[in-house]
Amino acid sequence: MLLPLKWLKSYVDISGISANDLAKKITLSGIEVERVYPMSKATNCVIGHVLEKTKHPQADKLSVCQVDLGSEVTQIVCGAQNVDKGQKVVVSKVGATLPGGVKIKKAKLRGEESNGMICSLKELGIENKFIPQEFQNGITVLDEKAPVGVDAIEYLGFNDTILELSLTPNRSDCLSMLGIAYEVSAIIDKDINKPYGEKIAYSINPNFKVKINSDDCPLYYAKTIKNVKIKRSPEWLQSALISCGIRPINNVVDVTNYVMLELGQPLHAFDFKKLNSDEIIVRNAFKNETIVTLDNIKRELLPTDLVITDGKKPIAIAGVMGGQNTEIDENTCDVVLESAVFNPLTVRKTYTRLGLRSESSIRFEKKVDPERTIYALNRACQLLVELVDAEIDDKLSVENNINDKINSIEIKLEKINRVLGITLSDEDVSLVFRKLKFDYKLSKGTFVVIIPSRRPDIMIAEDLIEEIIRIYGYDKLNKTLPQTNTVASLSENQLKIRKIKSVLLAQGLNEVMTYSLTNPKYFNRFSHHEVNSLLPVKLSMPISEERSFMRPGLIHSLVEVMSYNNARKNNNVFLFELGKRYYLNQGEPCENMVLAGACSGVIVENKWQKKKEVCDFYYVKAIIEQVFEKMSLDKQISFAQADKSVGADFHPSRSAYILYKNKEIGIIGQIHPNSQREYDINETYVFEIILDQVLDAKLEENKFKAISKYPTVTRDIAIVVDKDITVSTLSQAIASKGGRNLKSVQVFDVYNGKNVDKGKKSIAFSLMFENVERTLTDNDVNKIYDKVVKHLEDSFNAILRK
Amino acid sequence: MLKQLKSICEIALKDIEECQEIKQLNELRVKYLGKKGPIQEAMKMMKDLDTEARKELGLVSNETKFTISTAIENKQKELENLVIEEQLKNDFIDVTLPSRKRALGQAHLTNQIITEIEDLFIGMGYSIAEGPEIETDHYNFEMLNLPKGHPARDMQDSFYITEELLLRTHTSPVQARTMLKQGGKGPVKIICPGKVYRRDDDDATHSHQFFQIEGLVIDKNITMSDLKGTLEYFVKKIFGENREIRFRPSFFPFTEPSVEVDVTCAKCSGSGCSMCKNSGYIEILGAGMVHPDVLKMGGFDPEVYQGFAFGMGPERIAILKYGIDDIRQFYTNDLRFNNQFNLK
Repeated sequence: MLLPLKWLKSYVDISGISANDLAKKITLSGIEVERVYPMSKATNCVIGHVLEKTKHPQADKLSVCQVDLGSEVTQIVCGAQNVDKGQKVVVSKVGATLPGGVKIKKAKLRGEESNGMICSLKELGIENKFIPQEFQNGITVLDEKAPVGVDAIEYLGFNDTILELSLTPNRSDCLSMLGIAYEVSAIIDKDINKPYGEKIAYSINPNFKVKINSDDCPLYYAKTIKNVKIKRSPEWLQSALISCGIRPINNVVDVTNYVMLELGQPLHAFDFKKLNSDEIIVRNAFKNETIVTLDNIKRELLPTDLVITDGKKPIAIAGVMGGQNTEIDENTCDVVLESAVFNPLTVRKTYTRLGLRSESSIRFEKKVDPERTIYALNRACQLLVELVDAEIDDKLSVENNINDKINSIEIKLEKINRVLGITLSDEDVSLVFRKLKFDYKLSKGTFVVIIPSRRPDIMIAEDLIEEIIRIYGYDKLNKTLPQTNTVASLSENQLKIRKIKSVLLAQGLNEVMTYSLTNPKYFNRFSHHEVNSLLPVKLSMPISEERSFMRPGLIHSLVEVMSYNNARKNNNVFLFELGKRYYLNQGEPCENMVLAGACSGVIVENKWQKKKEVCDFYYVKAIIEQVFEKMSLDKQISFAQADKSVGADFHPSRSAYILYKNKEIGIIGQIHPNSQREYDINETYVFEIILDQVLDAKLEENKFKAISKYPTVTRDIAIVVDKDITVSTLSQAIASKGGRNLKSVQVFDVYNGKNVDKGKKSIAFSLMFENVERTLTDNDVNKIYDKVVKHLEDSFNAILRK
Repeated sequence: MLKQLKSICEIALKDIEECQEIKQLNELRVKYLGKKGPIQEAMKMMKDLDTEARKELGLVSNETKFTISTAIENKQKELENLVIEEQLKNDFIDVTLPSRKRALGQAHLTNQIITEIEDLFIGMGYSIAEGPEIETDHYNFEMLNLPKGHPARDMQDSFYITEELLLRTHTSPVQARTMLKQGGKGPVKIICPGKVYRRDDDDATHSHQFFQIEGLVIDKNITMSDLKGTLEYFVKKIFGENREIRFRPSFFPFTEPSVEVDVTCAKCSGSGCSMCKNSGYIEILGAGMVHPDVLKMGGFDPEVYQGFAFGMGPERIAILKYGIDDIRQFYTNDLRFNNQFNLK
């Protein structure tokens, strides 16, 4: 909403307050002023009268004009095609400054002296869209009555300062000059001059009837106006509209817009002659009904739309846009003027569906003040009489279904202070109500406040508390802390998440954050058992294909980050993300917390020492193991070689499922060389773990375990077995026969080259034995050792290497 | 004999003194203290002497033996030290050469800010509440006084999945859920951090996905002055002790009264500059007293309970704190960006 100060001044005295101070006061009291700017920055411009125009002897496109500036007659060279003898024009004199910093100097143009410039409004800083069509490519020609020599900026009404307001949706009252004037008058504690008087008496027009056949229109007034002459509006009216960002069209339309800006009540003018009847019927649209609106587009209507009809055809979509069939044009002489109230939700629904948000629909949507409806109609008629000598029929056509219930709110001083936490007095509060021009009664600490119909946003006591504190001043609140005593800590899940993160960070992985919305074409990327069967969550109206589905996993996003960084010559990239994946389960949306990572490149390196370690499967595996160790869940975790069903993005023989209590919860693996090429990344290892079960696991307290005072004994076993028998199978087999004295089984060699048959491999384990109560003898250990070897030989055809 | 021993002792001490190597010292040990050495020779002669003379010779030869062996011991230590010193000299390293460092990982900036804010509010007795990102229209809007068709819904253009399901546009539905769980009994003191989504095109200042932290306190005596005190404490902890806040009236359907909270500009400390568009203040969060309808829908009696709520964007806080010029940086994850920030 744009607020020209000149307009504001006609309702409230703001003398002695600078525009910037006023802007600050308005901002701190509730309406944010985004910008303060002059309507035109041009100086030293006067109205000139073109006395002579001759062709420039040296240039075809230039004219040499003799212009009367009031104080003198001077020669000006003009390049506009439309300049002509007898015109009244705007002249920036020598010494003038125009917006953009242009300075007008005495000049010679191709040998002809030029003392100034004949201007278009554009050169005065007015946007092109506000300039009448005929002047868009040339100078602006003023009314022939324009007084020569007078300051043109003043004459045009451009000597104004404008405040750009950013209104919150509740303050529909400030969608009018009068509404803002009430607001300003409260802030600076001044009286207000209303542009209309008290109650209007009227009689019903028997010749033109209004009928409402819908619940969506509580109030409809219409007046008929005869002998209107359509032409351009006077300068003051045009500049008032321009200063508020509305394009002047013709006097009748301009008057309706002016009154809308002044009082907040949108009006609509119909060409009386184009109606097929002497009545207006307001009703909901029929099914399949259509109307061609003012913008020349055929609109399909629904029964939820409200239309104005002449009894037969729709002539306007109520509160949204008029119909072309009754449009005011240059031949219009009789007019029907509408001032009405429409259901805000109906207007909103219709304009949203049709994409027809307009100054008028915004105001209806946010509720107009029904008290001003009739004043707005009268004000428009009064202006039309003044401007175009129109003949107004004093009688009114009306249907009024509004019940004039007075809205009053009761509030106790004690409640006000209890909510605000300060101690206001009766007088403090009374003063605010007086400033706001709210009628109130006070008795025994209770206020009964009559809420004026211009403030539909005030509905409950709390709304009044806001009015009180914003006018009284938020700077006067105390600064205290709640007296509520609560204790708080992270939940177990939140603690676990922080633990997981601390391990990953300590391991050198960087945390990243990626978008949850993704392109459906990435769905099957990095799929594994866990993901394969999930149904995706799809947006019903995405902005783009790229962000139209919720991601079913995180690895793709991480690999894209890997690719981004690799492309910028960062080859050592270690990433993780803790975030959600999304899917549908029997139509119900589900979200799981997921930990995912992507690692590639050198883990640690010292070039001058020629030492370096490079990321591989086992490095990433260790990270995952340590995450679970930190949560004391390492015993529940195991890895199983991935089978053929693993997604095509994984290396088929370097990938594993991550199992929690023998149930698959994730995957770890190298990216398939094909995918690696496709993503344009270096050798990369990724993992993804669905954390829900892990987060839900009860953490067990560690118990103290006695440390043995007796020495440990180690024995090594080297065996040759079939290649596809995994180490974890063998380790478990050893442990199963090792008894309680076997403390650990570690692999210290894996070999499958020379001296080992094809299809076989040699594995060496180191077994450590210990007893808490006594020293183990050779005999003790040998017995266990033999048992283990026998089991390996029997179960796996292992051959003991000597 | 005694004289002879004395001179042997002197020669031996001189030999030891001049000795340069351990090997040589060992030879001297054999030479003087060995079985065929002069002392042993002298001892052998003792049996031919009378008691008095034997006694004296015994005494002197023992003394001589002790003197020489002590000298050898000392020399040995001295020579060994020399060897070690030599070796240590050769062990010299340039301690200024670069170390072999494995990089530490870095938490994402947004999460660093969230963690800092979480810890701050835990310290004030707030619990951390969480909720789903795919929400129902009911919790995301209706429970927050935004019925269907409410114009204020335009403020938060949403990603719908079905008519009833959408990606939450704020973390306020977590507040609604928490209130219902309480069964109308206070106090409630929570913050709710999490991802939210708005139907915005991504540009330098807009992101279709971002984070929000909302706070909610409900009890029988919670005032708007408590809100101001709480937020001032928060702002001073996060932005610095010399920063001030101000409340500016605003509108949110779920709070009444509602305010925008501004903090004095970091660049000009309130005097006005280009960063704060000459206002001296920068908007950082929205807040207000919980609307009685929201309390009612959440199962609380607004005649008994009142409360305040606030909502802030951790990315916006980071942007203001570090002067970041493009919110998309938070989601691009260029590690040259991500690894710049290390909060206290």
